[in-house]
Amino acid sequence: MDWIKPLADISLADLDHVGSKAAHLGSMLQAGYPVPDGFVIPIDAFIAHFGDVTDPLIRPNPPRLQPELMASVVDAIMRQLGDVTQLTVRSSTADSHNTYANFAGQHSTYYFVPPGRIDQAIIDCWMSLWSNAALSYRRAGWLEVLSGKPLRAAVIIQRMIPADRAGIICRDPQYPERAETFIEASWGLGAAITDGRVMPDQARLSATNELLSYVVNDKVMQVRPDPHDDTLARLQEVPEERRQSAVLSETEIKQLGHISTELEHLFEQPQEIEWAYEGEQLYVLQSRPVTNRAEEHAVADQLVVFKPLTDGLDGPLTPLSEDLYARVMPKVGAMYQGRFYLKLKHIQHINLFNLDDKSLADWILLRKRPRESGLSWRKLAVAAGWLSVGFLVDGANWIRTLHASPAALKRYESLVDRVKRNPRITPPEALKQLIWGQQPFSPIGHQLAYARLSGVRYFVYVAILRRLVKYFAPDYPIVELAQTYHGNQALTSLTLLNEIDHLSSLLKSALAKNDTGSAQLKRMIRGEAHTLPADSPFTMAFEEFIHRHGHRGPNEMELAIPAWREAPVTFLRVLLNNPSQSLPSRDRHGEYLSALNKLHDHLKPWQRTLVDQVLNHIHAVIESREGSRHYHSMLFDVVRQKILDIEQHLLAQGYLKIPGDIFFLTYAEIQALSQSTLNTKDAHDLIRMRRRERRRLARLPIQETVNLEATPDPLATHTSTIAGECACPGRVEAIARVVASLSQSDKLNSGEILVARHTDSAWTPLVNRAAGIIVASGSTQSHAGKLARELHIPCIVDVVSGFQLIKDGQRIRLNADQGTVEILTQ
Amino acid sequence: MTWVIGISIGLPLSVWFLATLFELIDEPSFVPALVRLALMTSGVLVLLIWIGPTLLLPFATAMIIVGTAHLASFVFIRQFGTGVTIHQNSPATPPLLVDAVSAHERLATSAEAPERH
Repeated sequence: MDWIKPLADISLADLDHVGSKAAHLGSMLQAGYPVPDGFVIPIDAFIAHFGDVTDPLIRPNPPRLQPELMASVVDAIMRQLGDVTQLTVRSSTADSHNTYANFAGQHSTYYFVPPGRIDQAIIDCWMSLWSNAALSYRRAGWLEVLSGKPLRAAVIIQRMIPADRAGIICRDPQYPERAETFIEASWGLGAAITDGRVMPDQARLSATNELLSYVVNDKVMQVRPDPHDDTLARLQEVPEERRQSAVLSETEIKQLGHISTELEHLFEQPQEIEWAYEGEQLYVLQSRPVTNRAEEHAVADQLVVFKPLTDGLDGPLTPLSEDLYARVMPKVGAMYQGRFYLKLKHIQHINLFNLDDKSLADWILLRKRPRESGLSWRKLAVAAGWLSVGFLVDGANWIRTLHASPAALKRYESLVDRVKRNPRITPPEALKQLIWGQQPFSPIGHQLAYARLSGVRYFVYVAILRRLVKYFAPDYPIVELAQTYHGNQALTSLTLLNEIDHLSSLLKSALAKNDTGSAQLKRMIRGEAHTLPADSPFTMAFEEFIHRHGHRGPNEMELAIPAWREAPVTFLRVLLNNPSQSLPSRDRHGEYLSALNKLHDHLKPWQRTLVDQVLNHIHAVIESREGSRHYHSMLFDVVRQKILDIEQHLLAQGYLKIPGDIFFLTYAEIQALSQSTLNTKDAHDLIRMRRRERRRLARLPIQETVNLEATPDPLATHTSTIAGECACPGRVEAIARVVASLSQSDKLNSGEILVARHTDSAWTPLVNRAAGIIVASGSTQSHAGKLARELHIPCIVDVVSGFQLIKDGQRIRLNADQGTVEILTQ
Repeated sequence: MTWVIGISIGLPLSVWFLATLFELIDEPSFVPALVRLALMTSGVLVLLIWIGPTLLLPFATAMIIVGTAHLASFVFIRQFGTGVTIHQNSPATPPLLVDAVSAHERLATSAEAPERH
């Protein structure tokens, strides 16, 4: 038997003998790509040691390596790799789409292996096929068990590349039709990226290899040799001065782009490529076919994404956040891929119209209601009966929300304080109490869910208002009606905006002074200092703001994201990029009054009285909704702090490796870990796998429906038209500015049209600066929609079809009334 | 008939009454709620005097039903009305590992035949 096969002698034809990974490496080496030299122990050697493994649920005993194999390995190392001191050892399975191989077994990669320990590394690599994680997957019935295919793997041994920089290249999965290349890069070994330990730099290249964007992120962690034992790879902090510096030059980015294109031609399909630089020398470490979806279990239910909750998320929830929210969600919902969904069968029970499943899904997605639906009188009668029962059971709480004043809602702070101070209240219990109340006789201000749900009255009052205005004043332009019930200056969100503007101007004044305080501020913004200058007007205002609003932050519902109080430097950068002084002054309250006067001009006096009554109700509901949002964001902060207390304990005990890992375990797993009933290594494997999965899901577009074909967008085939939902009417023609993330916020100039995939409260200063807003995701009730209405900025959301056509710098015409965008120049 | 009338009027009235009672603790100033409560109570008393005390028992029953339903709703929502499925359709969110470890014996790396999971 040939115990060893050099990589240089391997091609794709050998896939069944050496596994997919090895076959791809050999092909690349033969084609002249810079692949680290090495050799493969083929699958035949595995069979010779384990036999044919047909039952993957039985873990065999670790074998003793046969002498002939050891002799061949030693000989190969000496002849092929010479005086190498460190090796990598990893598995290569024959089925590249094997679910298990993509997750559990794939992580059997050993770095910095000295030749003297190669035998143990080979055995460990083989035995990782039966790790507890792998067995758990198989017990859950994943493909491998059902396929009946025997379990087998080859082992690849290569020279270790002590990478300074590494990353991955792949085709952008969000927009595959654009043929754009997506590159991620960070310091040290690529394991930090593939294991989701770091937020890498991200570059995007066009189909013709032009650099479209390069986002430098804060790279906190890296994988490097352990400073005390260079045979071990260790997760370390990146030195401060390198965290925010670019990993790749433009030349290097384009070089990687070329390699991606060439390998796609070589293997005749798009590839995901792992690369590394040692100094200036580039190496290609792996290439595998791109699969957007791993093998998946079927989901039994028909699900529709629930946009009012999903809008506030920039990516899927972490597993712990998902686990905790799942415990408090009403049973009409479901969690899928880290997002909130509704079960269609439950919503059909309360569907009063003759809507089929697809049309109902459209309604849930807050798209235009189908015109052909009619009211079902039978369903209405049944619903009336249930509503009567519901009124008896919970009507008292509903009535309380109608009269709840801002002072009543403010009492939520006392509940938050009580829950925060009680160490016996666990994170799940804290979430339950802060949403559903502590006891049945709590003040309504303590029962957040009711306060938030009462916001649904907004739709009822708006519908009544529209009917009244259409009846009383058929000549009135109904698209302008929204301006008569938005623009109330007393809103919490606008107060926040004004305070941010004020802080921003104080910061810029402080920076303009050439003194020690200004230098300290600059160091803090660069991440080189952690304290603000003492006795500075800006510091006092900043601390006051953080005291009141420090619990806010980007992506608030995601418990893993720090609030502004925890990450003041992030907020400082938001302030720095807020050019409030350059905005032309705009009398928004005057515009609101003008819109109201215009409406009144179309009405008779008694009609004005009636319409004003409805408008007052709408104002009250909006104020209540926005006010309760300010308070409900406190609950995320409290739950997060409780989780961080547990994390501190687990880190000190050595159960967790780095801060942030805790959010990749469920609460039950955290409890098991702290009680030592969950093995630490198994927990780390879980965390690593889930970080990878979350990163994969974050790159994919949101799946709006599951097991339900979405209603096709009628404009999808008309590629020159871009359409969405009108969140705030109006028309504007200006330059489009595509802002991929908050780190690019300084790109947007006043008077330009902001184009973003997603916004949340951290984007508020940008929204304020824009002449128009286009958001790819979300609904009319999203953050962007609500703020746009308050600020009277034309806005469309849910721009699904044709969003990819808007390029940075194009002149466009946004017609929010119609919900369309026209590109005027290329 | 008295009972039918009494319960039909009593149930919605009880809901409003309960809501107004709660408003005494909702707002920092309980005066507006107290005024509403006083007006409601007066109205009910007038009704009872006008129609007759035969409605008293149905009204009281309605209040007990509403109060109990309100309490039951709180318990139901917290205990049975919440908690949804996390659809694990990808192998990167596997079942709880502790099941594999604690519920079944670990396979010992010995010469004995290993047990099947």
